[in-house]
Amino acid sequence: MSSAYTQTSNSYNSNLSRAAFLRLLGLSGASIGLLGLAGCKRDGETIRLYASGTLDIGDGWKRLEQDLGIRLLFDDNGNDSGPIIANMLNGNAAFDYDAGGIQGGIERELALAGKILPWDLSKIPNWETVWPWIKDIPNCKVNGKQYGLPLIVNADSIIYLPDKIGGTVDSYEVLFDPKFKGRTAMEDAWMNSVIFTAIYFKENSIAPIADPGDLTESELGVVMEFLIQKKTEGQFRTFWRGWEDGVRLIKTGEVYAMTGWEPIVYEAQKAGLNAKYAIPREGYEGWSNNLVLHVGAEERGIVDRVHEFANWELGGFYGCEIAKQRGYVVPNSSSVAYAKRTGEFDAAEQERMLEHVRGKFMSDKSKVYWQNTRPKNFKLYEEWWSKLRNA
Amino acid sequence: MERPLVNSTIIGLIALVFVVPLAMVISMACMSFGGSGPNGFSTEGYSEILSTLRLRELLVITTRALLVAATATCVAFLVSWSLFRVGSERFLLFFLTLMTLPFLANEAVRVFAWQHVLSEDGVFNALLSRVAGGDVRLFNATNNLNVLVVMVLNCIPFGVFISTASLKTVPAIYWKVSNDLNLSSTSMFLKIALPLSKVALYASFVVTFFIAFSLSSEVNFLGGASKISLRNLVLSLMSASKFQSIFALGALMTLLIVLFILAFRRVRSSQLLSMS
Repeated sequence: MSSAYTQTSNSYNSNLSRAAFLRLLGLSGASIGLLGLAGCKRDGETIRLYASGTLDIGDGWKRLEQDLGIRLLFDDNGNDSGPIIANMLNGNAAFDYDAGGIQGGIERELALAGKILPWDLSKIPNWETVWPWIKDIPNCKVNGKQYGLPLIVNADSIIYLPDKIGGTVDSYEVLFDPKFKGRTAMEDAWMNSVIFTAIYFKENSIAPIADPGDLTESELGVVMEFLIQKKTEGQFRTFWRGWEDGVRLIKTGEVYAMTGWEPIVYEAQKAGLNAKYAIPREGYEGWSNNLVLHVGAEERGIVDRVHEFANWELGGFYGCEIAKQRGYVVPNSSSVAYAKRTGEFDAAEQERMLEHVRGKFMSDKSKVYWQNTRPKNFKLYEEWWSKLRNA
Repeated sequence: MERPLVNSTIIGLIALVFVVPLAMVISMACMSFGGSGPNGFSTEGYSEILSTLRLRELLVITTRALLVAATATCVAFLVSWSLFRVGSERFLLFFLTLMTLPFLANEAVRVFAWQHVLSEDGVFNALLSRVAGGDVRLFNATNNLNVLVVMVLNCIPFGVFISTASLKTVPAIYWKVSNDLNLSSTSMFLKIALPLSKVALYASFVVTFFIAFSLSSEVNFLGGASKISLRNLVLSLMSASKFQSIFALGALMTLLIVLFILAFRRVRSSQLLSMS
């Protein structure tokens, strides 16, 4: 009898209990091991993508399978640069996945560590269709080679409530205006908040700033001391974190103006709020989410297939799908052409979204400074941000 | 001769399972990482964690966790005592299942719920506005007091489970004798329940301390402009590629747990002594 309690003696038998426990432990361990092995099974027609959740098109990937015979397995990388770098440099992500989708800036570190490979642009014909100024984003190149392919781009600024502010916002000044003390916010992420403040400083000649996306030690000190002072004065309601938090602050009216993502404005407008996205005279923070080629693809001999996949992403269907699902655009005109050609998507809506984003980059009124998730002094950025949290 | 359930082999295995990771985490904290793996030995990880800035963050996290654990343990014990005294077995089971299990399920969901209750146009202000008339804006979802309150509320169920289990294991003879002696409820609480629940109180404090130590949703979503939490600290270290420091933090945490276990043995011994 295998029960720990035997019916004959009705007494507890520790040997049986231990044996049963160890047997259970062994079985559980073996099961977990087998489950893990099952996950390792793969073939050449499967591509594993480790990317920001915003790049996922869900059922839309079935089209990839129809078009190229490639099955895509998508894993959300969480979008936070720190853990992504940790997984790529010290973990197995570079080998477990064939490609990645990252916020622009960490390519240099990954490339120099040998975790990602340069793209062979001759194998990506659709690269020719990408807007020229997008091809020139400096963070995507390392030693002259293209390591990041910008898949989606946008330009961020200030979300605000005109009724509370009492007019139109056209400057980052609103965030630091004592009139709105306790009613403004910035994101709890230096990669966005520092560059916004640096743009404000540079364009208003408050302090000499060469490149708002890559501050020197002294420039960073000036910007951060200003932010710390404003924080201690109670200027900021909070430093928001994540989609839900950002949406809530605007929808509840707890914050009148904050730097943030454009979809938050759409979400607030959907709820019937008069929320706007500012066109700041100082310029936008441009960002791109880039496709990178992992060394794992080379190990498995599927580099060419990943290039085919990259070419497909720039081919039109993916652009239409991502615009429809998430409101982001692929930086070329293929999606509009695809929508017109096939009739699968609303071509007018696709064109409107594309022109809206292109307008932000091309308008005479606005400049764009590119977000850099890995500036040269990134360790100092992190240290200053911790000081801000402690202030 | 019957073999004991826990013999030296099992103790050895347990030591292996716990000591090996501790040794690994201590040694990893001393290795500097390059692109292709460990390539050096230094104590930089520890010096970073023990820098003024990081120590200040750890102090904030620890103080908050101590405060939360102490409050949650006390409240949880009082709740358990009340349930034990006045609740029937069925009610006790009903309460523990329906009232506390959801609390153990998902921290983020609870925090979002509280955000909704506490926000400027939230439930509390709406109720106050209705009662007092006008537009009352007493609460808002972004300040440090909210963080403490919600952390305590999130930790209480863990303490309730431990304390209730402890009270249920007190030999019935103690309650019978105290009833025979006509002891008041307060006397029973002070002279029996409390002394015999020393271990449970300690366990409750330790469990809630470590839970509060690692909670981050409250800080991120209710904490105003102050965002100090263990998660944010680790993310900050990751973002700065200071992986050694994360291992150093892990080593310090594990040593702290070992200290708690040693202290637990002392508390347990003293309780056994008092019972005998």
